[in-house]
Amino acid sequence: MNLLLDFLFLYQVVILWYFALLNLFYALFAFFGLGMVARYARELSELSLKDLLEREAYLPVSILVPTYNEEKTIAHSVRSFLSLHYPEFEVIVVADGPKDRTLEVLKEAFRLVEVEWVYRRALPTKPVRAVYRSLVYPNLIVVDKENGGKADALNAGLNLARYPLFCAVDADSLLDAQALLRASRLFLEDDRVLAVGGTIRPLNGAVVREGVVEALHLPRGFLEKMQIVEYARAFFMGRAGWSAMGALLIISGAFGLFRREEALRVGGYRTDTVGEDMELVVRLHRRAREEGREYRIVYTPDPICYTEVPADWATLRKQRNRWHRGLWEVLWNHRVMLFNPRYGRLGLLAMPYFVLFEALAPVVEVLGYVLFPVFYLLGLFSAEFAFLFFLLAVAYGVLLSQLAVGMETLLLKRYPRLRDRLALLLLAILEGLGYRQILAWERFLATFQVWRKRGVWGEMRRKGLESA
Amino acid sequence: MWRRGERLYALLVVLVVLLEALALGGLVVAFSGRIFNLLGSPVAYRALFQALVLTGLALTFLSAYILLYHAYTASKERLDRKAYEDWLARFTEALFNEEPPPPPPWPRPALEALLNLREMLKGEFSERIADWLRQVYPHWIRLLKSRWASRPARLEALDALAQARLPETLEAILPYLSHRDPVLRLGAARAGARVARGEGLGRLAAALLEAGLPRGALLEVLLLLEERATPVVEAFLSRGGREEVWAALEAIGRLKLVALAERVLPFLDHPDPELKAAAMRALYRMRYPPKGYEGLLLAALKDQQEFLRAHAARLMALLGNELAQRALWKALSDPSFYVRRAAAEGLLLMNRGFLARAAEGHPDPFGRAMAQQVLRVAA
Amino acid sequence: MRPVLVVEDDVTVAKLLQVALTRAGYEVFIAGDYASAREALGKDWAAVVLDINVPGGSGLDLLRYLRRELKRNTPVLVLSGLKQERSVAEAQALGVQEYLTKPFSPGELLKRLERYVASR
Repeated sequence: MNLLLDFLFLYQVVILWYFALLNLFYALFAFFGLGMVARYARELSELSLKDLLEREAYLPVSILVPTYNEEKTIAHSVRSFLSLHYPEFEVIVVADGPKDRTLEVLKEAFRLVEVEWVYRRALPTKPVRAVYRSLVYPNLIVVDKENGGKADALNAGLNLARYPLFCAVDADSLLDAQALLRASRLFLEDDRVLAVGGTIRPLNGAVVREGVVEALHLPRGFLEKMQIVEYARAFFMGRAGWSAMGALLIISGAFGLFRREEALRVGGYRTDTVGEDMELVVRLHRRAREEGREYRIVYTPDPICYTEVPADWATLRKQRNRWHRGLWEVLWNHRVMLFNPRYGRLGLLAMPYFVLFEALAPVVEVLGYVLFPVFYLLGLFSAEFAFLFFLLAVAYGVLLSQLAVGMETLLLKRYPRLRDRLALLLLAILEGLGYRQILAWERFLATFQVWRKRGVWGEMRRKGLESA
Repeated sequence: MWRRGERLYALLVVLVVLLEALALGGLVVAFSGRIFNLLGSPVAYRALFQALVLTGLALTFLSAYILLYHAYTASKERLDRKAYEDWLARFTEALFNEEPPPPPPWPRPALEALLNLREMLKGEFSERIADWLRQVYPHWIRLLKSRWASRPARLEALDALAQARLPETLEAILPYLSHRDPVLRLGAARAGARVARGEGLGRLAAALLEAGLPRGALLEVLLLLEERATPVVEAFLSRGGREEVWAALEAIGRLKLVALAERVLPFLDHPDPELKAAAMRALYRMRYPPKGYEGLLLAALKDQQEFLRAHAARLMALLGNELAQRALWKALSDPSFYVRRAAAEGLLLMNRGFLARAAEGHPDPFGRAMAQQVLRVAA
Repeated sequence: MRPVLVVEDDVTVAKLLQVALTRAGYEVFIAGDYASAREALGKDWAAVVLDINVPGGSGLDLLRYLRRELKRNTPVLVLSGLKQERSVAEAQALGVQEYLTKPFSPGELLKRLERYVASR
């Protein structure tokens, strides 16, 4: 019995230290992230951006748009991509064997004609059935191929891309008109930059006219509102922090800008994982470090991409399940980097963090909740004490989320209504009381499904965004 | 896309963070003490309670401040925008009526309006705005010369001078090209490029050669100079390091400074492949046939590096002679996709009929396919 | 009254154009983004002053719409900050009368505008 008690006591101690370290990390990100964003906000010369846009110093970009069943929205999306304010770019839509009328819609909307296209198949992909060009828009290419998944579609697009930079987006990403300008200038100003990620914001609730976000309103749904707070925190204090520390492992699939040659050199996207966006970034890091090259993978705080976020629990849980499985898959594939000084901050800081505090956190959290009543029954602590502790944990999380809401207040395009601001601040409280727990449960489950569901996207992707 | 944020905002955030750090730090100490039985249970309990209270305080302060800041900036923004439009209207009227402007002092929105007018206009109207700006530019110069100004303030001043484009302000800008902060050096370089003219260009060139800017920035600067770029480009070619020379070659091509084409030609023989490629790109952009350098181009077509072969193929087409035709015909069998494409596009430029023959009868199947494709696209 | 449509989102340029054109006797209508510009193109204009980078789309798309779908040959003067060759080439391929870059001279713009409006 004594042994059991000692063990349980030790367990408590470990958990306490886990909690302390985790929050130390959160604090570090918050600190570095806020600093980075504040400095960026005060230093970016809008004048220099204008000059960049108007002159012959720019790097042309190939935008890769993988799409599956999106007949309702694809024409609109592609048109908005074609309207970006950038001197030279091409849009390559890769229709990944859609079962609906996506391809037909594209053919009609853009007057596509099939062409016999000779190109370098640098990456292996599922067979391409046809290549189309538009009679109206000379910089639009549409590829019809056999279904192979998002990564495969991106690789097919990559094969056809002709420009030095490529931009991987989701078909439903809504890009700011200056997205390419703001992201690509980082490549121009620094040769070492290999990849750039931006800030993604939920589009739900926004008033959109002709592909422009005219006004930001809080959506009605509780879940959608929660995700606004969540994304603000994840980007301004997560990605910003990691980027400031030179260890950015994640660039969203919704918007990422990369050097084409570099991506080809590391072999393009992996098709056997659901975390293909993160996987490419990690592989870019790894290859550059193994070759001992100086390089940069950075994040720009400008909110240049909007995307529809799930509005119902089922879709949200499936999405988070997929993200978590993707995370485990990537971490497992690159486990050689863990605690390996050869990979510098990535190996010693970022990878361990992601394993211990991102991948494993839901397990610890759920076990914590489960064991709570057990410990109480065993009389290992007082209920009051535990309650206060829990409250503190929540309060600390709320603080961080509210800091993120505060960052959002600094944006020129922010949620303008004061009552919306208040709502977001209050939602930050609810985030720690229920929302996170449910998602932690889903991620807990995902941890045990990784093996069974390897590389499986699940029904969510197939349904697309019909629910939206 | 971001507001610059007030100092007060940053200060409060720091305060909140410190408060929280204090609370949690105390907590960790207390708990560690408790765990090793160094401290009594009530101490740990009290620490927990205090941490909770401090966190609650921090939260309240933060929320209240965010709401206040939001409300304040929202109304300030509205007022500023109205003020800007008013001043813009007044200045525009004065401009078109050929009247003097409303007298200074001019608040921030007014200065913004003036700078934007200067930016958007050229000719006589622009010069008149410049004269008006001459009444207020000393303010920015003072900021730049001050020892206590913050970095964002200096950057704003540099941007303002960049928009004002008053040649006499170059003196205040040049010293920043040797500032230890690279962000300020870059801001100064851009401002200098917009401001400098006449003999100021020589001084700008000298300062840029010492500034140690990356090549992308140097290229930006040269492009900003537009038709004034020649003296600076020449200085880069003669006295610059690798980065400066690369930027100069790129700029010659993009600005189409044909007068300098002769100075680009020798770089076709340069040992550094990047510079060789830059020279080839520049000549191609200017459509300047590299007469007398056929031998070097032929050698480049056999270079190990794919990108050099591709550039050489493209440039070869400008020669427009038998030699070029034969070389490009051969290049259609190059193992690299990009070289074949450049060769086909080159042949298209020179002699469409010849490309058609390649599409039919070239021995290499990939070469034939590429020729066919290029012909099709051209149709 | 000669109505001119100005498609421009920059407040400063829009104001300059409004003042300059009004003084020269034109009736000025300003459209600040793609959607309202597209709607406005439906009406009859003596001329259009067109910016290329407007919120919601490209001025070149508007031009395409005007020339190919509405099939009008209204004189169009592009006034854009874009100085790249390909932008100029693209615009000319779609049939613009003039391509002016910013910074611009209102006097010059008026002179050229007059030429095209008068010849109609």
